[in-house]
Amino acid sequence: MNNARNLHPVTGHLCPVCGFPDLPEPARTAETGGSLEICPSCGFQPGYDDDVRGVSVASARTAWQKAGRPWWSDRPKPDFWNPGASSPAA
Amino acid sequence: MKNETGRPETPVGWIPIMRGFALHYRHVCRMVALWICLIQTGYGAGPVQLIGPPRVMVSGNKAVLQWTTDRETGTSVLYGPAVERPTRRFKGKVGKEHWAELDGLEPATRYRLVLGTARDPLQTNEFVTPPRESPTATWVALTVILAPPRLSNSTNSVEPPSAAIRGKNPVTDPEVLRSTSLPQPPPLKETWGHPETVSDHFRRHGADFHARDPEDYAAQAWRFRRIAASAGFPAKKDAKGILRIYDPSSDTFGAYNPDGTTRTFFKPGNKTYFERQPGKSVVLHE
Repeated sequence: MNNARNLHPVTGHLCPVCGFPDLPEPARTAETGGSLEICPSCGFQPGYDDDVRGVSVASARTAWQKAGRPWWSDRPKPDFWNPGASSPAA
Repeated sequence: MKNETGRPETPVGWIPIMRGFALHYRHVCRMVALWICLIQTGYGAGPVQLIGPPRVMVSGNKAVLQWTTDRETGTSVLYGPAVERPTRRFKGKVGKEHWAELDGLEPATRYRLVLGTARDPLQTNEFVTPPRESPTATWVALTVILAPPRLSNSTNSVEPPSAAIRGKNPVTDPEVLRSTSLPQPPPLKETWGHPETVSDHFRRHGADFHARDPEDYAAQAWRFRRIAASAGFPAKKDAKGILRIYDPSSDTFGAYNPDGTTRTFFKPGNKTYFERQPGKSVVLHE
């Protein structure tokens, strides 16, 4: 059952911090910079956190992992998302 | 002991050596002070540039002028009725945020002003005072008479505030963005690009605007976009058509999708944030 959830065919884009696979847009592109969309899983906002706050992807990932990989958003966590089983993108 | 000229010989010892050191030390101190002075005044760093358009708020017989420069400079305004040569001068503090209070204005009069530093004029503008004294302050249109070459590229393409903004306050503080005199926004689902994400953006940035809830936050973002053209805020559009607008006076930043819906809305707390954004400067239309 868990395997089935992990195989959920998500169509979104990957969060570079936590690996959440269902972002509505790429986190960052060369043409448009940071997407400014907030990842519901870890709360990272490309173009804001890595600019205004000066938080790198690596340090945001470390902080999120040390915090126990909590779900950030007030929105309900999707069933397919199991951050403990997911290894964030390198 | 005397030499050939009859004058006593200078004794060779530690006193003249110390004198030499003292003179040398004084010279070095003067040079350091001069360098500090030059650095503080921005010498050698190119001309001072305006960040965004200046604004003027008129209340009764007084006008408060505000503008921002890219570095710390003095504050100077030469002003007077437009029909004659401006002779009155205001001098203010050194800084990047400049405020000037122009007192003793006549009602229903067109004033011309030259703002900048005591040494360098940055822009020549005109504004008209209200016909009679009003108990409430209002931001009035500031017409750019002479947009000098000192304006940066990002502001050259910005329209001056149009007549549409007269009588309204273009300062994007929360009270203004909540004002019922501004257009009422459509439902949130129509104004936010990904409506399911607005609660996240509200949670992250709502406090910047003292927003009560996601609806209030989204409404302020929508109104910011509506008044941006009239207020002449600098804007950029990137390769995907995403529009980024910034109000330097209130440090308000909004990003909007090509269909006009909001992407995000916050106060970056950094004047250079907008300059780092991708895209080309564009002129906003209402």
